[in-house]
Amino acid sequence: MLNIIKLNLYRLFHQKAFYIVPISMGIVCFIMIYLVWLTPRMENQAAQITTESGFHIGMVSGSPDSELLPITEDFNLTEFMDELFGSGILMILISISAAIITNAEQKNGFIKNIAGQISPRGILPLAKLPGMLLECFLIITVAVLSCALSGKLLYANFIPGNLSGLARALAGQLLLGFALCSLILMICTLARNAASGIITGIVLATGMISLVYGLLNKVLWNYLHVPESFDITRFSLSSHFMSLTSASGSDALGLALAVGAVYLTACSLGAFMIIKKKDIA
Amino acid sequence: MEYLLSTDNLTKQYKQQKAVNNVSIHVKQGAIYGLIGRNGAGKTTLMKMVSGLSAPTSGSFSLFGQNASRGGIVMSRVGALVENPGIYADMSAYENLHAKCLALGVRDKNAEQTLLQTVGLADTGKKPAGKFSLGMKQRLGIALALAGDPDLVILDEPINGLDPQGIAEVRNTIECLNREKGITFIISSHILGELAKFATNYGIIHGGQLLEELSMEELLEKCSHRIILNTVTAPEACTELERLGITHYKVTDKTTIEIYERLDEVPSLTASLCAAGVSVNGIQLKQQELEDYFLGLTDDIVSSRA
Repeated sequence: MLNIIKLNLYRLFHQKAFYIVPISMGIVCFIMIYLVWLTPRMENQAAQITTESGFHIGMVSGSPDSELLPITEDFNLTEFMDELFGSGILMILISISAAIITNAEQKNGFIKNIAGQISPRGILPLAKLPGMLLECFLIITVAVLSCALSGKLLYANFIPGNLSGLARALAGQLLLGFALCSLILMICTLARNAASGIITGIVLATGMISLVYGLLNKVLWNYLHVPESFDITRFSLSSHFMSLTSASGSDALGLALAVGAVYLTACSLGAFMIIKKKDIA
Repeated sequence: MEYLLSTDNLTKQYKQQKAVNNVSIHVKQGAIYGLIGRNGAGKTTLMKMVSGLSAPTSGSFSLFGQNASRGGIVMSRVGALVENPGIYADMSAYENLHAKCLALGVRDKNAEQTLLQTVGLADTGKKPAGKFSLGMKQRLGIALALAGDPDLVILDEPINGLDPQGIAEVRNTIECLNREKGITFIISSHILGELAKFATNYGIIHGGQLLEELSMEELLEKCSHRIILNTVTAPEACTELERLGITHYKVTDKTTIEIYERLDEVPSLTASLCAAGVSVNGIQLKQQELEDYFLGLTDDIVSSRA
């Protein structure tokens, strides 16, 4: 197992995606903060031009003065990170990196060089998990650093906010991200391609999965006579991923960690069994 | 342990089709076993099963005297290059080998360099393997199969895409490793003439079934000398041959007969046929090539099924 972990880490450090995904995360964070900073200024500038010239640019309703947006020079890091967690971007980028890591040796056939000689073969996907955890940590760290630097650069007042709450949320996000990696690992191992993992990540992050959860809830309530107080979304990975913030209480954090741990265990076991049973193509 | 590898009615079924059907091969330690078969004969599927990449539907196989059908530690002694070489295109040959050595826990720090020298890729430096020629990729694939000093190496079409010089180099490498390190090889190839130069045993597979398993000596005997008689009408010639007491012959087409006995009597045979009024267009003593033997064997099967 240790040897396979060494192989995966060695390969990971040689893989461009290992660096590109965290860098992309950093760029996305900067763009988001820049847009938040820029939007009220642009709109107010447009409104001022309208007032001064008497011409309306675009769709303007009511008095132009009432449209001036409040411009703040305060940037609260913790609040912005909470918004970032809820946006699903972190989930999408973690899914992409997990899918690329999982599919690397399947795509080029390198797996055929080692799969026959490793016993039990099921450890092959499990050995990818430490690398995935490292990548998750890197993505989250770059996100925090990028947000902090962008905030300092663009805003006059940089407010760290509730740092202890942020640290707890980040630890929770790291575990949930790791659990998401194991889910993507299992799906990509089963489907033998990266696209399925990336699509799963997008479906989870955009909330499309809530339709399925709604349907499942109805089936549980109507056909299996489960009390309506039971909501399956409480046990979904994506809902915890997007709702866990610095303001979350100990109960919410505890449940999120428990859900993450269950997903991690179940999906890792699933990936182990799939690769053990399936032939190497 | 009589055989290093022996399969017992090994079968692989995909839905309704049996890619490998009750195949029992026997590979002795130190042998270079040539697996011969047409495209889709089941060679690769068989190689995948014995290299641990694919599980048999039924049957079993033993490696080094131990049952290996369900994998196990014994599989670590088997190196394989099945289908295309699986390499990281953005990594150099050295890095690809280092990755495999890490996976197998190879402690020898010079192992990668030694393997590169063995397959003639020592001077590739940091060039990404993705930019290698087909032949170079093939050699890297062989080096990857040799990593970790396996006792059995399975090579599926290892000389595909190689130029004549490359083929000779790979052949020399295999012979050298077989002779000096005692590594046993199972090799499949379409280039039968090339395989015939160094294989010590053969397994002929067709339609997923093993048609014949024979040693080099047995093959030489089967591919023995024969008289090729070219005449105007084969039936007339056959009548005369039988009158002369020759029964071990085969009519290959309307005008050609292969005679397997009295090989040193070509002049007297020609005279006898001419005296009997049989028109002889040509007569020559010839040795059958492996390819001819293989084609003859598989054609017989195809025609008998038709």
